[in-house]
Amino acid sequence: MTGEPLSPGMALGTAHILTGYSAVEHCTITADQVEGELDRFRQGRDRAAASLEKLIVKVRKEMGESQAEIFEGHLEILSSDDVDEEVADLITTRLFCAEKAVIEFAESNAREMESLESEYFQERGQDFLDIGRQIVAGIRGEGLGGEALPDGAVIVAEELTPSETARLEMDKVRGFVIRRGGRNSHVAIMARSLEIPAVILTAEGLFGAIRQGDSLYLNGDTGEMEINPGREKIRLIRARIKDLEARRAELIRLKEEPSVTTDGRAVKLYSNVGAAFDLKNAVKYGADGIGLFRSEFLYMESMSLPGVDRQTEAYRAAVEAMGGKEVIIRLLDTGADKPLPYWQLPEEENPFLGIRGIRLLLQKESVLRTQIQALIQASAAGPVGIMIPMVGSLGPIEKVKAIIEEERKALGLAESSNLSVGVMIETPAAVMLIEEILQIVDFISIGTNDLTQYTLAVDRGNPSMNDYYDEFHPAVIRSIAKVVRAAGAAGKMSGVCGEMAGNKLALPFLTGLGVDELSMTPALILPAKKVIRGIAYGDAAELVEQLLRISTPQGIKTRLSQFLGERELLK
Amino acid sequence: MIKDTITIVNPTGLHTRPAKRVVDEAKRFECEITAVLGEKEASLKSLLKIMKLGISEGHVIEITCDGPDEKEALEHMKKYILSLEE
Repeated sequence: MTGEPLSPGMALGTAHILTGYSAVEHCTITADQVEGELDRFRQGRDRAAASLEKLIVKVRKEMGESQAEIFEGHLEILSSDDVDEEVADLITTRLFCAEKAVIEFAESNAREMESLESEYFQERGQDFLDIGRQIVAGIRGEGLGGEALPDGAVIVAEELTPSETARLEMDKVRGFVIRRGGRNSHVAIMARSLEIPAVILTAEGLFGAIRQGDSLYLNGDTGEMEINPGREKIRLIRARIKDLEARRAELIRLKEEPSVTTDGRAVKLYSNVGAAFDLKNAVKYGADGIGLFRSEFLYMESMSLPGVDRQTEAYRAAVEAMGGKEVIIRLLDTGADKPLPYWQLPEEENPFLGIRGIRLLLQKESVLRTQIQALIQASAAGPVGIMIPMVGSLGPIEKVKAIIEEERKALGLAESSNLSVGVMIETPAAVMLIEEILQIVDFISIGTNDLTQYTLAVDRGNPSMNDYYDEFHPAVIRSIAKVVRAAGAAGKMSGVCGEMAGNKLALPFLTGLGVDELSMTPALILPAKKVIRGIAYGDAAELVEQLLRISTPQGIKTRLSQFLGERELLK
Repeated sequence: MIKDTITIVNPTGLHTRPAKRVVDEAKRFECEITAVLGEKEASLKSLLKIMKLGISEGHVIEITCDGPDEKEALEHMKKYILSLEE
């Protein structure tokens, strides 16, 4: 049986079908039952509110403030007079039973939200449905504490609302099989963050075949799932899981070891942070710092532009979690291709060449200033690097530096050695101007994904361009070499934070160039460390000279594979 | 009864957090306060109803106040909504 993979990993566990929410039957009452139903509704709502309050505390602790805010919004609406009035009206005038009245209320409000123009408001309709279900559960007196799970549970559910997901005892969950919800559903995001395998099973027959307590095998890399696998198969699966765990354990031992080449050159391994939970994984895998904190997630998770306090808190949490190691935070990098739901941007024919990154922020300076204020304040807790995205000329860098200076003075703070300013190098223009840029910044970090797309004039989102998009293209390789060497000559820190940084094949090249820092998804840090600890800087530097003379991507990759193969680092 | 129109300037528009603040402000007044967007209207004292208008940045809304303290209310609400930053 095969579904679609949502979150990688392998699991063998016990099926636990979440009873969760079951549909409300249509039911009506007689006039003399109205008072009783009103009471049932209000008691149920109060139970739901009390349970939401507990959930908010749990979520704030486990997933951070921005996630907690979603449920604070739920609580606000759930306990408002409007809900009380509208539901009471449905009970009194239409003689619906309490559950039916609540669901009717939730669905009609969700429909109204879904008819709105803005996509963001449309999606908020889901919040009403979630709120409605929570009240119904309160009325029924079920599921509010979160269900008791067996150890090693594989959660099986039609779909999981944010509140249902958040209520689960995650330490007992070994996997997820769900029927509805995409890669970006709440449960998928959470499963990936907690490194729990998850599969989506859309076919009715497959899903319906799972029984409570069945033994379930699932593979979140392939989407494979098997119900009650045979003894032989279980043995095989266990062996595979054991092998996977052994490899993991070997890597985990590397955590305390420094990331240095065999001849003693350090290459710091930083973590990219794209959501609050990445931070936990950065610490778990022993990141030497944060090389790319994608501040967009703060803006995307919340229901409105995050204010200065919210942002300060989030940045400070990152700085504190890293305990004095460097944290490089990229200024809000958004544009028409990845708009914020609540911030409508004019449509552009060519958003990748349009108002994005720093260009947008300079148009909307108040947003930029708020973020800079938060970053300055967070730097009181430890070193913070402010990284400017989408730079193609010197003007925007000067402008941002001036604003940082103004805001620092306005906050009445002295100049701080904790605050540095750098840029993302992701346009050919920035590559060509690298010497001048290096004179006015403290560090640079190469965003290889965008640099590849802009250098090769290849849209990386367009599948028919796959043959043309190649980060090992000699034009890209030579651009990276130019930038890293210029930084070295200028004595400024250089880093790489695009996908290439975590690509094993690229490591000998980047190491040989003398890059200071590589920033990647936390899970790739230890595999990268294993490679770096297996090569000599001297050899890698010689390799770089050869690579810069090769004129095809294939040739470059072949040479790199050969280099790794000779050192038994390919596997 | 008095009324006036304003253009929403904060990027979020009147959604959850800013909307809640507006509702809290509106509740301080005795008069009825409503917002009209296109053909829809809602009491500014109800978070749920305001949210359902879907008021976004750039929208022009009409605010109506009706009651004993309508003058202060209109003045205050206009200023308050224009001062939203999120």
